Amino acid sequence: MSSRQPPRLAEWLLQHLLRMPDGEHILGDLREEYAAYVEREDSRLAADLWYWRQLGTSIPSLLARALRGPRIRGRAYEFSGAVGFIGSIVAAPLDRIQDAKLILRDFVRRPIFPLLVVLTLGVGVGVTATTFAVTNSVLLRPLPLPEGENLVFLRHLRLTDPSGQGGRMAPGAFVHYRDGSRLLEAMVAFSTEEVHVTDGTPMAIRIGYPTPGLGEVVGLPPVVGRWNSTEDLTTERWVAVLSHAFWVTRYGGDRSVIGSVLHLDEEAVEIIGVAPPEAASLEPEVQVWVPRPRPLDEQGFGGFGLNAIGRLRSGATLQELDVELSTLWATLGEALPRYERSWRYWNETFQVRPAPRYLLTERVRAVRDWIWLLLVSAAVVFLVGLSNVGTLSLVRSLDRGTDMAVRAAMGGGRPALTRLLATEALLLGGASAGLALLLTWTLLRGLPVVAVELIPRVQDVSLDATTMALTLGLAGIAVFVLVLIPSVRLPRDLAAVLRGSAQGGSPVLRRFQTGLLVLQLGLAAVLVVFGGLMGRSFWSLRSVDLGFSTEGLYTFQLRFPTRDDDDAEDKYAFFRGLQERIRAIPGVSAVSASECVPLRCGLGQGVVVEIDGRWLEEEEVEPIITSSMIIPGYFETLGVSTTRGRDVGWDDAWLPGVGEEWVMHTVLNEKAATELFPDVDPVGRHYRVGANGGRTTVAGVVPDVLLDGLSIGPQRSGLIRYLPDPRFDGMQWVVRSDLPAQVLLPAIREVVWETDPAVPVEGLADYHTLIAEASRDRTLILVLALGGAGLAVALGLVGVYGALSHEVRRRGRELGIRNALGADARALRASVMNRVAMMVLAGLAIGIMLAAASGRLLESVVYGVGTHDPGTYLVAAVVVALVAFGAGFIPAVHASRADPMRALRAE
Amino acid sequence: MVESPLSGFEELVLLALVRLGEGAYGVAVHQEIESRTGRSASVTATYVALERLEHAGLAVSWIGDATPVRGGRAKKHFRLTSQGALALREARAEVDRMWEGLEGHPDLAPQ
Repeated sequence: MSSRQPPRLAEWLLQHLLRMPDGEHILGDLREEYAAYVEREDSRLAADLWYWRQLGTSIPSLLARALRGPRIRGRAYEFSGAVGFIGSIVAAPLDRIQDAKLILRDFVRRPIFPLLVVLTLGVGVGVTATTFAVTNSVLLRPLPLPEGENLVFLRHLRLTDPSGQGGRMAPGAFVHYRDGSRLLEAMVAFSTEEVHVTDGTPMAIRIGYPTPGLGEVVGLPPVVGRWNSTEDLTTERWVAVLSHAFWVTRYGGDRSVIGSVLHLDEEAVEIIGVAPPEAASLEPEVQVWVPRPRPLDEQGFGGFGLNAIGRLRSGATLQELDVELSTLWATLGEALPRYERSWRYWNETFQVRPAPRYLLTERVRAVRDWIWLLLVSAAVVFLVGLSNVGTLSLVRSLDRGTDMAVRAAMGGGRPALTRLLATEALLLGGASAGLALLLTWTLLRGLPVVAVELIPRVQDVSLDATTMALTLGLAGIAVFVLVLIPSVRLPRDLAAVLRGSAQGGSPVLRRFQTGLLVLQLGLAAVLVVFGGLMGRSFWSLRSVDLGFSTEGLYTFQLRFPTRDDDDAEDKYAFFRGLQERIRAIPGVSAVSASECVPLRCGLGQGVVVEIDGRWLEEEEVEPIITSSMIIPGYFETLGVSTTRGRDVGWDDAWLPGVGEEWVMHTVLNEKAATELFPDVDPVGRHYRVGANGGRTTVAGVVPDVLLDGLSIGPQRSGLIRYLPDPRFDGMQWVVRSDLPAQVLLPAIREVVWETDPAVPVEGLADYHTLIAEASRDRTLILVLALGGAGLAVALGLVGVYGALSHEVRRRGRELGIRNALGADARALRASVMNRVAMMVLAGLAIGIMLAAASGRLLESVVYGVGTHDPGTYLVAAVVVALVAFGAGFIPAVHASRADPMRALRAE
Repeated sequence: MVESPLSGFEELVLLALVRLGEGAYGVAVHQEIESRTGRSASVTATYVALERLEHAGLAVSWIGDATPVRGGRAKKHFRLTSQGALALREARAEVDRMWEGLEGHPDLAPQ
């Protein structure tokens, strides 16, 4: 008879499609008919084809059945299965309201499950949607300029610098590219500087010095007036194009501003135009554009300190531009002989090469890796949450088997139950989506306030249509998981459930459930590894040796408007007098100033060309050193003392007119001392920076002090020279005092204003605050990473506990009987714990592989620890294992105490 | 009373029940319709129609024995109810009334 059986696959498919009361009868009829067909036609093939055709033609009528009017004679038509679910959504609104009432009553009575589901999904979806919105708005959306995706930042790399850092643009290179490039249709170069507006309310602003071409690169007309152009190069006067923001805040958007005069550091500048608001995305910090009235061509080759932005012709790619600029760079010396010497120097000594990148990439470079990492973490949390909700839902549906069977017996029928479950899932999904949208909206509104200095373009982040769609889509997936699992799980034989003989959980479903838990543990392990690495990085940063004491140390800035009549002697007298006055404030124990104080530093760079009277040959790699001017007492104020030689004093000051050659006294840090003067005592020796630089004598050596950001460390050669210089108008002051900031600031301001009422005192901060600021982004990331890891682990705990306690309950009879027969309690516990161990092992294997694979993503965000740090991985594995075993322990104890009487009574 | 008029296919199913008498079940109804009208609906479609008719009270069913050739599945038999007979007669009467006086109408002449 076995030869008379229809195709197994077709029958299996049909069996799952025919989720209607007569399904079994139809299958029976078809089998009978199939057998008759084989007999009649004597062809299995023809009979098989007939059977498959039956399967195919069944689908439309099943769909029609599900969708057609639900009622005949006022009785609810029945739905079930996947087909029924589609029908149930469109049908019977009245029944659905009834169902919803029932479900809500149930939720109020037993709120844990719905609360867990809505919180897990709402938070998971909300966080994912928020990070997606940030990724989309900050990293992916083109700059808001016409063909903004064609803007490129023209920078250079130094192949000799192992960090890959290099320069931006040199005037000489810019001139050559501007004249030679066919792929760039417009180019602008600019440097920026902080100056003071000296008429009206004094304020410090950042200005940019652009070349002609700014307007072409922006690609938009000015709001009023005109852009700067080549004709501004032939006049002697200074002109200005205001940024839109500056125009609005300072002039209230007055259109008659064109032609009026603005004083910048007492220089008169005529306003010729106002840039459109979109131009801010070129360089957000620049408030006023002041073109230099001298073409770049007349300058020397210069250093690589200019910002340069170009506009690619449409259709040209970045790779093509890279090739073109590399070719131009290679021929620069030949094409422009006046630059040849400088070009050779950069090209050979530092192996400078052009390396253009998209302007958008350049703008978001600092945060790109962070944001991707956040998005990945959020997605992982969502997946963990989803798989957890799946597990919870599965467990609950198994637990509710009896409840469901009773309902079915009381007249609902299987299809009504499916409809009930669908309504429940819609309610939970709707609530989760609502919570997610609310959370996303709140986070996105709050984000620009918190992160405006941290994330470029963050003010553009908004709850747009894409994000909304994503939120609803993710919530939709969640609903699907919520519906699918319980309805697949609905026991076929409800009567058997009532009799108590049904053993819930087919092997397939149990494997599916185990798979979910393994995945969940794996993803939790990934996030714990991330969190651990962030924690280690954070710890490394906080324990960085700054090289000085931060207790009671303050810093503030004084900037002097540049005046023509200043000379070095005035500055000398001013600094010296001011230092004495500030030190005289009661509570101040030391005060000094430097061009560059720790953590607030823009170091100048120079190349050492002569050591001890010996000119370095071109072939020798000249040490690059960074330098900063100080006034005496600097090291005393920082609490650093010289290890060799002496500190500099006021008497070491170099003043013009003394001697033919500049002789400066410098204090080197250890790093510079050992690099410039290996094997000899540097004190009293000489060197020279740059061909035109003055001869410098080393007065003393101090320990390395961290100058730049916390994560950069004192790896550069450092040089600190002492020279009050008339060109020099900005100084960062450091004060050692036991006064609180709110007392110290007014006292200092009073003293400064007694000396010069036009000088503002800016940015007073204590070093604890500065260090916290320097590690602020990392603090934020650490909190987020640990939060994500904690959430994933907590969800894993709930998932494992839920699944195992269900399993123990399901096996109650077996465990009870084994108990009654005197089974060893330890063996019973072990039978549960072994399952945990298997899941943990599989989960960790997955998690560790995933974490290791994402190591590259972490490279730029960890500090002081490897991305594959074995210790962190080990700790993460132990944490996940402990949590899983902890979650499994209570169910295991229950297993060993299963009551034989209860098991038997249930029978 | 029947709330919804019979669809054409449902009418065929009811007529097949009359023809088959006590021997009516899903596949038999399906074959009866197919052999007489040449319309080949699926067995499932037949059952869907039977399900509706049963809900509407136009047919009744009872479960027969399970047999090995059916894979151990029981057979469901159907029979016309008096309501069903009424519905069929009404349907016929409706059609007849519409046909009244149309014999020999030029539009209906065979081409």
